[in-house]
Amino acid sequence: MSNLLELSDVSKQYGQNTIALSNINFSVKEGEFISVIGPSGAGKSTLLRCINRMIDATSGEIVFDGVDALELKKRDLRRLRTKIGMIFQHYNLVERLSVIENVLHGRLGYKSTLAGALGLYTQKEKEQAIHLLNMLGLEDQIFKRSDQLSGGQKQRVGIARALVQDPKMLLCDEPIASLDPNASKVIMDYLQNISRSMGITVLVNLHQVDVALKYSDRIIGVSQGEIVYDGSPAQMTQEQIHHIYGSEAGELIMDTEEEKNHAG
Amino acid sequence: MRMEDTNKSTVLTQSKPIKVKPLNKTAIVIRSTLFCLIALTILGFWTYDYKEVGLVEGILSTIANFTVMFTEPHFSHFTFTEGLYQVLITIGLALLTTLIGAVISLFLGLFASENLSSRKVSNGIKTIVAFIRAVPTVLWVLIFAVAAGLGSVAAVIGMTFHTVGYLIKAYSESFEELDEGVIEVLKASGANWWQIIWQAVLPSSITYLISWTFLRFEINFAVAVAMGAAAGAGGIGYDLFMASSFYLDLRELGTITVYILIFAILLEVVAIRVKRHLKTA
Amino acid sequence: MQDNFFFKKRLQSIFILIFLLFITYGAIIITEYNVIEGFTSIPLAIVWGVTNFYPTVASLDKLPTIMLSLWETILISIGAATVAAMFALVFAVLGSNTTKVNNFFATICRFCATFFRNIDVAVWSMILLFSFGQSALTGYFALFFVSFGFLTRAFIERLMKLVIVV
Repeated sequence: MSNLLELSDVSKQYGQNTIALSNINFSVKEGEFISVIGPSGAGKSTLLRCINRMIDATSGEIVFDGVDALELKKRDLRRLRTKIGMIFQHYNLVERLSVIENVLHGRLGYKSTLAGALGLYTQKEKEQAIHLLNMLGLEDQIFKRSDQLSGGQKQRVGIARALVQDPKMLLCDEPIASLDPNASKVIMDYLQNISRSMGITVLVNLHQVDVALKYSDRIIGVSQGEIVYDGSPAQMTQEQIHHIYGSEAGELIMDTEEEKNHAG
Repeated sequence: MRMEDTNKSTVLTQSKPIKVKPLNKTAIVIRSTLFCLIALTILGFWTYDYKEVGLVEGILSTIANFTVMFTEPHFSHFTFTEGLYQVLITIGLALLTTLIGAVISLFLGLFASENLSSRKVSNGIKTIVAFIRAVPTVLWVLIFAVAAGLGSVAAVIGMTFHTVGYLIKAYSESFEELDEGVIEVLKASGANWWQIIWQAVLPSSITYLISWTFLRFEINFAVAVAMGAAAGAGGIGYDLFMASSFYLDLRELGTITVYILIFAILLEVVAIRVKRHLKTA
Repeated sequence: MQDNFFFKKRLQSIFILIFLLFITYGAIIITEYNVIEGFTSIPLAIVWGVTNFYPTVASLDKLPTIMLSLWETILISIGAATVAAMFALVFAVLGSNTTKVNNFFATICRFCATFFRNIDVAVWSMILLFSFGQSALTGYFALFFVSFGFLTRAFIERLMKLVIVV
């Protein structure tokens, strides 16, 4: 399989001396499911947003699907972003609009300014949106207003909105951080399914080490803006988790160890 | 006052009382503003030119006049239908200025809000708008009356001017309160600026926009009443001016007030209905 | 089902747009407003404003008198607004949907606010002029009643928003 995404020497600096990311190097193969773990403020969010240029990296090179992302101007940048779906911790739905209208927002990148602004979607686009909502088990919510949904349902709408873009890759920024364990499991299962059945690459930021170990093909550990681990979950040792999270992680390591035993 | 006391005790005893409300900059500003307002109010009462009018007698006679006004209203200088037509003219003035002002403000308000436009453009518009607001509506109308002559043109343009100044501030503040995430998500999916505005910004802030527009409509109605006499724009304001300044007819004044009140209550009922509809549907 | 949904939504937008255009047109007719003259008056007014709207020597002579009445005006408006704000706060808390004691009180409070706000300043001035003559109290009370009405309404709006945020 070929590399879909390649980051080389990517750094991000805020102001004079706040370094958010330093010399990030990794590549992502098509169809991989990768978790990025690390303590709060380690730079996970910044890393994700650098890939679709929601945040501009200070230096380095990001090649997505054979295109140098950092060189792109307006129109081409919009085209790049249509190929990358994004999912957020707080779902970020337009609460006053219906579920289907929120899903169709994923199509805006493909549309002319006028058609997009007025919300004139084609029959095909609407059918695709409904198809995705059915797939995610939201068939009864399609025309409801988004503020009437539960957190888990809102996140599924968020996934549908990302998928309607026909993306090659999904970036998920803490998708389950605001959800209860049940809803979290549902969302992670959907993401795994999507990755396997549709062949979409998934890069997900996570707080929960156990979840990362259970679902990912590969784990990237980030600490203080640097990659400190990059490998399969099976090879991950207590010391390495300890290293990613710093010394206060004693409790956490115990938990994950149990999880590992259960899973194994 | 209390603020100084606590400060003093901290310095003297070093016992550091636990402060539930921390004394930050905002708290100090709020307290000193309140203190100044109260001091100025007291100073005002002290220095007002009372002209030896008895407060109690004054209030009693006000109540008496009030009773006459509302219990014995009559028509002497215009008929019922004429009055209705005059109210319609005043409503027309208020509607026209509010609607034109709202359309202009909607577009400029987008550019005036910092999260949707650049800081430079936003500050530029906000400064101009602050100046427009600082000049009272009546003065704007009079400035335009010099160019267009007394009449509805000057009234409409002048009132629209001030409306734009007011609504741009109100609208842009509503836009700035928006959740950044909603804008971010559309940007990340490749949507451009106008698409984000129409698909996320406006649907999310529509309740605030409508609420402000209704409030301005009410203000414009009051201004339109005043303009009837001041700018020769006609409407119920002209009759009001004649009744209160020339005929000194308390009973006719009562009639006019009832006209205005009925309309105002109707408007408020409509406004509440529309807002409730927007909240649920 | 889905066609219906989008069709209904679009129909509603078009209907609202037509309604707004219609009442705008009606308002133009009834107020005898001339659109073209309106546009042309803007540059004329700006020219006039720039050439005439600055103080001359003669007007500067009057400055002390103007400053004195300005001071009186400021004192009266602050006094009226502060006292009105205190009353308005109580009425707003009782009248707002989110903090009301019961519906009956809320309606009465809202009615009071609407009533006082919509009696024109000119009407207040005349009634008060009959009672208090040319004294500062006439202006004070006129301002007080109007600001009370307006502030109550504004506070109510704020209080209602509070709950949306929380």
